[in-house]
Amino acid sequence: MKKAHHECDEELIGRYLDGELSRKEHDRISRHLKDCSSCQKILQDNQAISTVFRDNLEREVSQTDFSVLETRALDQIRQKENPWWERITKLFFSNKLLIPATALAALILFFAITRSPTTISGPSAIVEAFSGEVSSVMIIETPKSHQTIIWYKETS
Amino acid sequence: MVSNKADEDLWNEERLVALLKEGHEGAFRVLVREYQEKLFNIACGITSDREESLDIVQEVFLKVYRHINTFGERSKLSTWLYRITVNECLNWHKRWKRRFRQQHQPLEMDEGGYLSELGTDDFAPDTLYQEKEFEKAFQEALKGLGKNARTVFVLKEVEGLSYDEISGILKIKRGTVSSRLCYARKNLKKSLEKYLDKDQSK
Repeated sequence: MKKAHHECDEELIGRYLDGELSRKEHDRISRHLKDCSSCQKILQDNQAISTVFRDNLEREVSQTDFSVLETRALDQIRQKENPWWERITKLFFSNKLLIPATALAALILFFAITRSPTTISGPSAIVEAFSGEVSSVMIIETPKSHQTIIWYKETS
Repeated sequence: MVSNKADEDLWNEERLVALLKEGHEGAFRVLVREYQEKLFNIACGITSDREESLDIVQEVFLKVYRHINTFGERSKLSTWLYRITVNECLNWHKRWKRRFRQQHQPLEMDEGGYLSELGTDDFAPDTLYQEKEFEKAFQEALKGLGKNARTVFVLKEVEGLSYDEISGILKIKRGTVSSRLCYARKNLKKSLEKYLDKDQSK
């Protein structure tokens, strides 16, 4: 069932303000508004909240640097065009990294050739050893920390 | 790099879309320049957050660049862009709670967080306090609308779109646009009643 259009209809006043009424309806509401203070108030309030909302937005826009947005958007599509593996390859072969990378490689090569491989510490050095009929004694010194260990064993 | 002259030549929707489909960077720049402010206004109206709106708009442009081939040209480019923007904003709705909490700044402070200096033109205790209080009340009222009514209200107020255009963007009936808009206005006015009455009694 079609809704009856009563003139004091807030939705109708809203559509009047938005220019969404037919010519006939528009004229009827215009005539009604001249005599209806409550509908005049609805219209004024609608206009007031519209103004406040737009003013708030305008303030936000005036504080926004859109050139940053443009730069960011363009950077992003360029990144999409160059996938991450291509960017890494480019980075490694770019002049910026070529010299430090070559120097680092040369250093690694130099130390690999000139330094003797690290030897695993062998058994401790035996400084002195005695072996008798009753017991045996061994004096051992650790190679790095030079700690002396005395090993004693009774012979049965 | 495309010159400004070339940029102007690109501004023909059909030609722009064709070039975007070819991945033309100059065309993309034209698109960004033409729509960034409009999309930002919509995003900012819905989210009430400048920084987040910038991120949303950036994401919209990226989506447009990626999916321009799916744009069928049956609708206007602007309708498609607005629809993507609204969807992006609504996808961010989970953050609304946090966003509105952050906006609760002390009324006495200005945007930089400083008190206006006594004896200067900026210091007008009544008006300053009332403006800040009104702004806060307005944001709260917008928040209270809910995403459906809020989105329709923003599209109407920001871009002055017709009910048919809004109905096309949101894929809802024209009558729904009208009723949501009426609901939004009615509720905003109800929340701001004391300020509106005060303003009109002057």
